[in-house]
Amino acid sequence: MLGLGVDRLQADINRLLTSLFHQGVLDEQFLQLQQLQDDTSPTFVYDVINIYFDESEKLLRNLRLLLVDREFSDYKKIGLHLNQLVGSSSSIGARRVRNVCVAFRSASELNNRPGCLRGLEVVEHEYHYLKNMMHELFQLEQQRLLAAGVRYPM
Amino acid sequence: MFCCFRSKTEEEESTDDLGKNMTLEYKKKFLVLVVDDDPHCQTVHLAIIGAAGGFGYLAENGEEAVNRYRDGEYFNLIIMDNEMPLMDGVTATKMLRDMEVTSVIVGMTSHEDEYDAFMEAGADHCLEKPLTFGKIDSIFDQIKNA
Repeated sequence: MLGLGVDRLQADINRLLTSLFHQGVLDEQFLQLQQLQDDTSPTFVYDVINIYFDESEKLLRNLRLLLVDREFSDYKKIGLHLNQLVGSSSSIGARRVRNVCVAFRSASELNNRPGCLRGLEVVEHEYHYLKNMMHELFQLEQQRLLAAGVRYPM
Repeated sequence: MFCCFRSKTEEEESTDDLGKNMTLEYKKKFLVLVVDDDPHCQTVHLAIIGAAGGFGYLAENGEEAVNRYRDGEYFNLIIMDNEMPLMDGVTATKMLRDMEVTSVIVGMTSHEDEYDAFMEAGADHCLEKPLTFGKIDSIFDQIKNA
């Protein structure tokens, strides 16, 4: 019975990951992160993704604060924040978030405020979708570990 | 006062040999300085370098990287981000070359506009983020074969 539960959960995890790769939400860089996880760092992926979420939320908050100001004109600052988001998103394999950040950055390079506002909405949408999917993945992984009788501090 | 000069015991001699072997093994590993202010990129880059067989060290910005060399440290490879507080990667690269630092410097960029600036500053390569196993293995191979 225990084995069936673990197998079912592993199948759910595989199905979710396949779907995320198929949708282009994740790319092969995510697999590289998984390869870095081993017995000496059993929560590596979870830790790295959570650092990414913490940093990204600060950047998105800053971007929104900059753009809601009607007197806003510092497109260079927008570009710097977006460069950081592009880099960190690509390093975890968050392909769709990375791509919409690149599109947003193009709007900022043209000093296009309406384009930037639209870009920000798209980035926020993609980011929250990714975050929800990652939470689902981590919950499934945690359930799988519990079913297998493994305990890791999370 | 106890005299320190005496012959080594057999146990001490075998420990010495172990120490020498460990030193030789250590020297075969690349010393890599990751220069990046982003905590997330720091974690991922250091993990990839460690998994690829290197020893990773961290500088939070270009100024810190330059100061480490001024203090006499040496690294086989520097993985250099560009946009950082205090001193950016392009400026740090130029300063290191002006100091006649011969370490391999690889600029890591999120924007293609940074490529030319890194190369003109003296970087050996400029790669688009993310750092991957393939990229780091390729760099290590190039250093070994140089």
